[in-house]
Amino acid sequence: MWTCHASGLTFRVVLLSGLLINPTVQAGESRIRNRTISYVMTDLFWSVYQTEDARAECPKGFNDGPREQFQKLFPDYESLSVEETQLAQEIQTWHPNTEPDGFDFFEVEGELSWGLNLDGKVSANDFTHPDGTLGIDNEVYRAVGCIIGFRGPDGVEYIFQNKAILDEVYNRMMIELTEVDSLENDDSVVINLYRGMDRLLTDATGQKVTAGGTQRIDYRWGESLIRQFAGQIVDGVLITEPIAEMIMPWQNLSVPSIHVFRDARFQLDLSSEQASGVLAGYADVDTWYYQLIRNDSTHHLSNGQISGISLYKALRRFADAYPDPLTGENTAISTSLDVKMAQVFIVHRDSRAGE
Amino acid sequence: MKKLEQTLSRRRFLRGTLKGGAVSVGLPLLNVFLNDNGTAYADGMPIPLRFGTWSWGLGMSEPIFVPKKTGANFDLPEEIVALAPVQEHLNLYTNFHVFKDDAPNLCHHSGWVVLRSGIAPTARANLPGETIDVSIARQIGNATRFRSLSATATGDVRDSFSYEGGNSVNTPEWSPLRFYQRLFGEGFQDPNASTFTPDPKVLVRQSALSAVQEEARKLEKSLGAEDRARLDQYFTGLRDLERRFDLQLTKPDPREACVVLEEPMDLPTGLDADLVATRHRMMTDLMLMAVACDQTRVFNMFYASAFSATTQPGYDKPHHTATHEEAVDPELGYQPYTSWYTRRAMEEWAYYVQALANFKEGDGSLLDNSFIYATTDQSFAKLHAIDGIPMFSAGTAGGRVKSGLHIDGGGSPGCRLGYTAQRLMGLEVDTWGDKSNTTSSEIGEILIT
Repeated sequence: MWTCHASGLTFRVVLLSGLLINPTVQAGESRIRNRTISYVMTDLFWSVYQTEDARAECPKGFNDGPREQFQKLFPDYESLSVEETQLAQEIQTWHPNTEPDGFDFFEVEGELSWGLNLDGKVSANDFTHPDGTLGIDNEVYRAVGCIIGFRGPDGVEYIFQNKAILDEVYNRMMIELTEVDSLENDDSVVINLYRGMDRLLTDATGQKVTAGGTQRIDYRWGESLIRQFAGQIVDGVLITEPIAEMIMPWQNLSVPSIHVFRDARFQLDLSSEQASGVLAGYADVDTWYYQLIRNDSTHHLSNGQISGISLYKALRRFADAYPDPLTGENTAISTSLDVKMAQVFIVHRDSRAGE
Repeated sequence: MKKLEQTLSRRRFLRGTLKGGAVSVGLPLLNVFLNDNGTAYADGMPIPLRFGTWSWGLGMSEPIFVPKKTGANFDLPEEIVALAPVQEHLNLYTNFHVFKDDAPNLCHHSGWVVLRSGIAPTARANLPGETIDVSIARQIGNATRFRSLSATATGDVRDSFSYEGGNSVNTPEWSPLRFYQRLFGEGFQDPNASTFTPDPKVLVRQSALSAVQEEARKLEKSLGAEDRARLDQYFTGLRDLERRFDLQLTKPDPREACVVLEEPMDLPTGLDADLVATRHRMMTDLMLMAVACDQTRVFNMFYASAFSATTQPGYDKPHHTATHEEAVDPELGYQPYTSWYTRRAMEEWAYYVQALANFKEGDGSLLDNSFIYATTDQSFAKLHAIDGIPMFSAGTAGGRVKSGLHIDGGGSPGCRLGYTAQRLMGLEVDTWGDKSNTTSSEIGEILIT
């Protein structure tokens, strides 16, 4: 506490910097407080490696969607009933199976993919990372990479998902790195995964998220989402241990849903203001699929030429982990998501941010 | 002549009684009322200003919509080439932004709501503030039979960008026949008719209204503050009714451009682009005749909705669907089918502006005494972008505004145009808009000072 005297009056100035909810941070100053720094997700979408003309990864072109398939299936649809046509397709969408649907599915045929080597092996079916790393496991990419709705910058899934991250709160996920000694190298940090409750701190356009915002933790409805796991920082990259099961709230087109990932792990380039990289793991196939069709009606699937019927079969075909003990069929599929995060101050239930 | 001017004003009424009720009869619009140029009344009162809005859906294809050149004589890229015949009458505004701040970007909603109300909505059901036409109608719409009129070319009564508040949307006229009957049916007083007969039923209603108001005033004295406030709202409605009765009992000023149209045929429902265009032109002709006949001075025309479902022959995707499903042609740099819809919208915008310009009024046209504010809901609809959202204005607002200009907003708030419009219409507003959309900066490049 400082005491100063002016014009015969005494003022007591209490230093509150450690108590402010959103303490002022000078440019270039570390945002680590009490060996803790946190980040909130601002972008999250399936890692899809794209070349400019798509010929390397999709030499056969892009897959048909519901409209195109409908035209081929029912060229004489006007003589048929709705039950025989549209409703039949809807039933197959909501009750999918692995039987062939008569359409050639165009899977990714390129060798490169973003993602991580999840199983530690290098096998014939694996991709190679553009940086040369072998053994990349990303079978979701193999399934969705030649569907235009999953490709940036204007695929319907791409734009709505990243829009939802900014606009909604249900999916406000964040990581809190504790026991941090350095953002460059630290052989042991502990990470907490929370869901936040607040809107992001943005510029006036609402599109650019600014570091230094504040988030409260959703302890009530988000309690089941809280995870704690270990990690290390190597040359400015956070590498975490796998999380046995991670539930990712997912909101798209105003419909709340979830994804379930097993063995999920982050690999993020860290700075004081942001973190970016990938979240990779094995996605539960049925949860993945039903998230998609719950969030997107056939109308929106058509926007992105996404045939749910064909995609489900592909997901099941490419699934590469967690076999069902009874049938032996894999129930999970390797995947990777591109993640961007902005530094944020997390307010704990019993304390203030930055403490 | 000077002596006559001193004794006669345009507000001179012949007063009398009819079946015991007071009747006032306005004098015709004599030349003596006008100045030497025919541009204003001799007493300095200008020919009435009008404010209109026009809306189209789903923005633009920027590479072929935004002119390379700013200022006068700007180039007309292919998506807006239809505007060539009316280029001199309008201004195009590009690179103006809609800011959502901490509100979500509500697809096809945030853009138009901000441009019409100045406030970013927080939910789809949220219609904050009141729209600009409502504010302006309160200023300039009190001397006409209808404070404002809205019409849509979509045939859908839900399509309106005009509202008083969240639960009070001004429903548009959606059927040409119904619109005609509302305008020229019961209650219409032909301003150019040689005779004027007040409707006795109106006198009866006026009398009943007076009695109601008397009773209400007695009641007011016994109420608390909160109830008095509620009653005040009620009185506001009564005063509006009273005003309309007064107008119906007053012979309107003659309007040279006013011609009572023949009753139109009604149109089938549907959103085929040709049908929408036909409906738009019929509604435009009716609307503008209502303006020319001084039935209203504030008017909203709705060409297409934010989720425009207009269809084109031989193509299976309606406009909104096309914006999302059609790929950007890598060689052309835009979505050709989507652009087709925007081009049709621009053809209709050109028709609307030309129609206003065709109405002779004084030494100019109805357009010369109007300011039309035209907006859309997105800039690049495929991505639901609201930055760089395009806008137009048309008309010179009684000589207050330059036209024929392309204005680059430099990323400033799109609300500047709405703010400018309100100032032009005489509203004493220091600022307009909320948060980052707040502006107190008129678009000075268009103003004649």
